[in-house]
Amino acid sequence: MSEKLEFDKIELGYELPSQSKHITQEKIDKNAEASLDFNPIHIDPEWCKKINLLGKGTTIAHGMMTLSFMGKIVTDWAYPGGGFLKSLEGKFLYPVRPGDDITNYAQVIEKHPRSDRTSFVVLELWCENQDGVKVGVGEAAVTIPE
Amino acid sequence: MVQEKLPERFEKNFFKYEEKQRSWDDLEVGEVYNTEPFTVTLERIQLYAEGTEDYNPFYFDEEAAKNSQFGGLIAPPTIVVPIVFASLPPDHWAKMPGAINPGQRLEFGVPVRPGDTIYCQSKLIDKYLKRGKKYTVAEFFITNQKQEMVCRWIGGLVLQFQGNEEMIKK
Repeated sequence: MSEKLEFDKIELGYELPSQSKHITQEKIDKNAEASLDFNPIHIDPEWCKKINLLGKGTTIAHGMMTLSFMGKIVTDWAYPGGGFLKSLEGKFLYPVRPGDDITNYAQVIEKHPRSDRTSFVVLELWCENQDGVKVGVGEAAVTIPE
Repeated sequence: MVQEKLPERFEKNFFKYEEKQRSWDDLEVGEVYNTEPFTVTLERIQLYAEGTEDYNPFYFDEEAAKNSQFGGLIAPPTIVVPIVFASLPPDHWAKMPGAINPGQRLEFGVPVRPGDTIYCQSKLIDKYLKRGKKYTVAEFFITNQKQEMVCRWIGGLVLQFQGNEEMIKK
């Protein structure tokens, strides 16, 4: 059994362990089937080449796949500790393409104490590709009921 | 085991409805969309978890989930993505070939559980031009069969009609 998160013990500035993902066309296709988002910008390399999508002519990964990675780093910490994901927000700054290695980061930046077991923390989220380019930024809020 | 049933009108080939897409200029802020309910199976939950490489035991391990704060198996929070894509009509702008996702915000209520029937209310709450690009913003208010809020999702797309000359003229 994992140790329960305690609101008072969570420190501002605490960084969650980073998580990395290698992106392939196969994984993007699998995500399309899973998410029911079959936009050709994700799954049709020939069409993307034909229209020179975003200047490079390759497919791009789903933004929501990036957001799910940003959420996973948080739920991997919060769920075993008894927490709940309250919100998740992401902005996608740069395309994620097949072959990219994406690393996700999260850091506690706010604490919101409440007396009715609804205290929550806010985490800053960001992810970078193999060149250190930020591909996504965002925030998540996690309710810590203890 | 409950067999997944996608709405009859669901279409994987987004090009099939491309010509029926309305232009950004024709979209009216405040318009609401004709959505269909979607019952989420355990298979969909696990397919989605695998598709996002998220193997949290609370999505797969009944015993672990039972002893958790959730009291049973749940879906990953972003399961609302296939729910919304299943619910929306095939000619909705969210399915426009070439549309780009600039960012999204999701506020969560109760988690989705296997067998839940999920309802999605959706309307266009903004559209704007920025740096030469045409943006849409929609609100999706997502509830379960008990009328509990699952998610309030605010987000949109950049509608660029990429690649199709006829659509660009629109």
